[in-house]
Amino acid sequence: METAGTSDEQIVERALAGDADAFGEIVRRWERRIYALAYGILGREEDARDAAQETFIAAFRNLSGFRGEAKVSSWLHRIAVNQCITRQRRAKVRGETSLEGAAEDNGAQFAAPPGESPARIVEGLERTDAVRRAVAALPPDLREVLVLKEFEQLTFQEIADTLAVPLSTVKSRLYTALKQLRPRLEKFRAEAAHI
Amino acid sequence: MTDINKCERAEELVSYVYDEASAPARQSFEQHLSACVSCRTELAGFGEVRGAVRAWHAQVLADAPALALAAALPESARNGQPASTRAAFTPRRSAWGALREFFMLTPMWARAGMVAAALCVCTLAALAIVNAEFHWDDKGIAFNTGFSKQATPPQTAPPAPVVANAQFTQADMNKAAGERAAAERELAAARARLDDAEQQVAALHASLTNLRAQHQTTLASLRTMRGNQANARQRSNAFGTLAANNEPDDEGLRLADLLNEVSAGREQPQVKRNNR
Repeated sequence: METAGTSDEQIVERALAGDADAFGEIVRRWERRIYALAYGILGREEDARDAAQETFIAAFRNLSGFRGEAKVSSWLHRIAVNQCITRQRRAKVRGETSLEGAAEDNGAQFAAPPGESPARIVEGLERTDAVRRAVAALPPDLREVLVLKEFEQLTFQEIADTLAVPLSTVKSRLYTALKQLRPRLEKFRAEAAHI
Repeated sequence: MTDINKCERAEELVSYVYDEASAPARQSFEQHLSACVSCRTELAGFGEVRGAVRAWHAQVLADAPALALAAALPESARNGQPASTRAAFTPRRSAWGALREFFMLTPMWARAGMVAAALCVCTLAALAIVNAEFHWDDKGIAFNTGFSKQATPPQTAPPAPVVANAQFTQADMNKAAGERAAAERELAAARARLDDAEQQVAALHASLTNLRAQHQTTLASLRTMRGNQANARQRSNAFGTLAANNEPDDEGLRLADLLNEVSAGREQPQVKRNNR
């Protein structure tokens, strides 16, 4: 099936017409990015995987409600962010461990690139883990804006639409997120260097 | 937390960093940057942060696990069924399960509020069932229930002096009881008199009705008699007119003459026809 030059919107139209494989193509195109988005917001692999799965299931269920007024990417982002927010609320109500305190060791999950020295691999893992911890330490509303901007490169207006907040709020949150992230990043890097 | 070193144009930095400022705003901010050390420092710091976050994102994307969505997606999505049959795989939850999940997702303060509201409703329902009454006056707060009302027999209003003054002797009580009995007897006698009077009024009313009926009957018979008399007068007048030419004083003769004339009148034309 030729899908490389087909837009997401065209694939969704095919899915609406009854082509079951078409939605599978949407999933294949977007699963990694949606997973990464969920991971950036939730900070835990298991939660991110569940949120990504629920995002596509919810999208499939609501496929008939997709009118083509928005882009498929915006539609999926909105569903994914809502899934993440719901999961965060559930975790908060159930009193689960906050992301900041989660001592999840993701180092073993990162595959070592061939040709890299062990020292550089460790250094890279420490850096990414420091970023993960620093982002996870942000308040959820700041984290959502930062991840939508940095991971998905959405415009301020697209983020405002996705989160249903004013444009000025998006700018303010993004500024605050970057401002808070800088010292935390330095702190976690310093901690990693001392271990 | 307030940053005393924060430049008043610091938040414009975000639009500049992400290249979403308009051309004039960008140009203006670049001029500002050349003069503002705080913004330059912040710009450099933001650049480092963004680089680190992007590196982390690339790492996350590279190591994204397989989502096993083939198993997670509904069966009909893989069997080629049209999208219209999607309702079949909507997971069914019991009402209790949905309520429980809703309760779990509700914040603690909202849960406490719901519990308090439920307790209030139950309390009000219980008070309504026992028919509770609250009174608040100078003597304080009084609380009564319908059960206590049923347990005590209904009380008539006590005599006013008893309420006003509690210092009474047995003689006073006996006297009051005697007065009350006498009053009751008087009341019974008055009621009996009233019943008698009502019966008399009823009898008088009935006789009056009879008299009215008799009066109406008499009037009707009088009218009938007057009508007969009037008719008789008219007839007598008519006969009188006819007999006036002969002997007005003798009605018997006038009538006989009239009859003779009538019979003679009838026979005369026949004689004339025969003569012809």
